[in-house]
Amino acid sequence: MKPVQFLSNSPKVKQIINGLTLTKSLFVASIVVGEPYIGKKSLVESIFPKGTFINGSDCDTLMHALQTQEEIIIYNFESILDLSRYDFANKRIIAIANNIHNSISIEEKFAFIYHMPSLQERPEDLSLLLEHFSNAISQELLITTDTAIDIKQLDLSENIKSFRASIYRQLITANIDQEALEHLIYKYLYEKIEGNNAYRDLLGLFERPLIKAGLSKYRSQLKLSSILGLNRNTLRKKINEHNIN
Amino acid sequence: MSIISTDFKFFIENDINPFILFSSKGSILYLNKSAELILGIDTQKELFSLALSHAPQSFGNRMTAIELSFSSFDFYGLNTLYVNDNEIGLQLYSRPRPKITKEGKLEGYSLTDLNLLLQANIELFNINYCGKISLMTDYSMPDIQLQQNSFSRLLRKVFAQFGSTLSVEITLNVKMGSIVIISDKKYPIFSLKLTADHRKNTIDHAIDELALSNHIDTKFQHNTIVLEIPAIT
Repeated sequence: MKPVQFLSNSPKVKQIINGLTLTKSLFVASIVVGEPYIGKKSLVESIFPKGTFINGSDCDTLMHALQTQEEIIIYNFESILDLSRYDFANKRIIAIANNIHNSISIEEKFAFIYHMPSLQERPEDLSLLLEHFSNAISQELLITTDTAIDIKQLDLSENIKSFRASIYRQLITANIDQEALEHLIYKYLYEKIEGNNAYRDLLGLFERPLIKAGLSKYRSQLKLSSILGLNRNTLRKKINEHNIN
Repeated sequence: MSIISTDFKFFIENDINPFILFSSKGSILYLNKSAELILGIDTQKELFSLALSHAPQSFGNRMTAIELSFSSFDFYGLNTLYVNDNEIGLQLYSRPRPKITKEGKLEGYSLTDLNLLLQANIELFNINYCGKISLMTDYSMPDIQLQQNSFSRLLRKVFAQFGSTLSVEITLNVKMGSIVIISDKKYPIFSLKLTADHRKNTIDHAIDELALSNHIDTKFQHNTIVLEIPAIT
């Protein structure tokens, strides 16, 4: 299996990596807590590539593993409702959790409690991850890798999940040609076309991005009306109709 | 009570509590074996001064509850005695050391590189600490028996006391002249000391309890915590 490499320039993440690496040979219980999709599992996997990963919601498997193994990695740790059932003494436990229900129990069970920062709290990681995901996605989509990505347009609301999705979107839209675009619109229209006023209903699909792009580019309704070959009043009417600011 | 005639010197000589007999000018007329371990040039003056300041108003003895530390030994009280104007006796009462369980069989303990465990705890502490950390340690120290998870929890709590300080000095070394006896075997004591300009002391009791469960002795000062760890190999 290909070893997992965890990419980060964040000092806090590096300290977590150092801490986990130092305790690799010790029988201590550690927990990594942080928002979903920030790379907690990948980080642990990069340090414990041969570790036994067990879902915290699988009580029976977890109980059996605790009785038979000395090193266990428990993900979805927040799924465990009754922590008192499990004995972590003299085992190497690495737990991964999106949140902590009972901080007192956690403090009693775990010696090392790491709070991993979200992607928004790791600005130094953005360009590194952008390069990594851009290359991977470009290879996957068979497109050129020199497409410029607007870092301000990347979505960090759901950490790496939304970040990666927004790179996908930017790369696809930047590399789409007229034929592919027409094909996409065709597929969309084929699904949506119905009723008795479909022409007017679906015209916005063309008019809205056209007017928005024109206003962004020329910054003047007068100029745009001239470029589009429309009467100024007609353009204003359409701007109001489509609620374009 | 029956009256017996015997020489009590042997019993005093071998008492675990230090006993010193001073002349009226402060020179030592007699000291038992335990007192030899705590005595230095400065300590002699300090002990004589202590005897005078806690002496009873007239002949007899006076016991005082007081926290004292000399060399690596801790005491919880003293007894000052005199029966004439030429001699004054001082006895110090040793603080008991934490008890080690069942003939040295330590359940859940494993041989541990204390420096490695300490380094991992420093990394954890340093994630949210803005001050400067300095570490002085002896990397040649042997691995010792520790309950690794419980001991690390103790370290986490100890470090947390220094979270708002500007800098913290950490010293790990062998405590010279101190031993702990477990099942007739002598082991040295490792001393882990954390010092800063101040510290939070709100969970001293919890730290003390956790330390005791790890057979570790603690000393608290307003800006310092010392853990005395039996170096069981």
